[in-house]
Amino acid sequence: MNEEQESWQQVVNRLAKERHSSADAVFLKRSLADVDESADDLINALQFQSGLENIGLVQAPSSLHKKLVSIPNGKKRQPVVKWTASLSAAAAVFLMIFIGISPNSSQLSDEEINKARRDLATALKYLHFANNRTRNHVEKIIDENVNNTLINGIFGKSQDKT
Amino acid sequence: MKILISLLIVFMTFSVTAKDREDYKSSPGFVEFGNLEGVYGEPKVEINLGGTILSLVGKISKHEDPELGDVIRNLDQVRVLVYELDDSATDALNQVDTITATLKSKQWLPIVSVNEELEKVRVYMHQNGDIVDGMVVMVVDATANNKKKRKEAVFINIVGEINPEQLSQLTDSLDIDVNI
Repeated sequence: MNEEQESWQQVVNRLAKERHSSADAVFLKRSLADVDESADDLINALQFQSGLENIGLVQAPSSLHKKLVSIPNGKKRQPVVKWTASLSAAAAVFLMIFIGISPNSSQLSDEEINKARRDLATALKYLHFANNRTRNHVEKIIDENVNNTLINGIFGKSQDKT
Repeated sequence: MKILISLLIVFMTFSVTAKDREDYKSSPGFVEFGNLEGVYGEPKVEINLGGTILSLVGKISKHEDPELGDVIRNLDQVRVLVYELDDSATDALNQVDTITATLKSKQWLPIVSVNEELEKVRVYMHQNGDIVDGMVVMVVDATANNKKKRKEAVFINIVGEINPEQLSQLTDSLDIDVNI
């Protein structure tokens, strides 16, 4: 390896280690001119890459960061959305029907409740009526049996005496 | 697909509501009186109070009388059918016998039974352990022969937890004037 080759290789090494200077670039271009026609492009590319790396990472604003994170990463999430929508629709229908039918809702008016109370009272009065009927019969049967027993007892004794 | 799911849920909702309404029919305290209209014609009085309305009336009545409210809330159904009888009450009296036979076959307990020529009274109860969960009262009275007192048949079925003593208290507590 001759002296010239060593020098431009050192320049390349410095460029790779980001310790380059414009003098290095000029020297490198001149040294590689004979070796490769694309030396200019190579040097420019190395300089450009090195420059970009020197810029470093810039912290994005938080609002932009959130927007970037919220962008879907290509996965399809449509089925979840559809199920949620279907369930929401079904729940709404269910609630509408439930509220519409349930007498516990405010749709049951005072008049309807009063009618129910009157109906219940009527039902219980009929129950009372039936109860009275049976009570009268039971009392009547007991009275008859007691009377018969007493009459038979009295007459039986008087007949025995005679 | 969405429409299908929505329809399915609507159908299920209606089924559940209908089931709730018909639930008392599966209760052991429920009695099917059969085709009474075929025998007596249109009922003079028809009362059919379901569990939901009774529960609501019970809740409201609880503010006035807590004990009364509880009695009403424990009832699942109150059904009363009153029919006016024609001159002949034979069909009506036979109908009572038919229903009585059904009650006996289902282990109902006879409480009161009156058998007169023109009058029949039956009171039956259904027990589940110590709890009375059904009551049937049938009265066919063909003894009346004037306009003030008409011949009539009364069929009552009460489903739910019943305390007969509390029921009589309830009649007075409701304090509603009813002419029967």
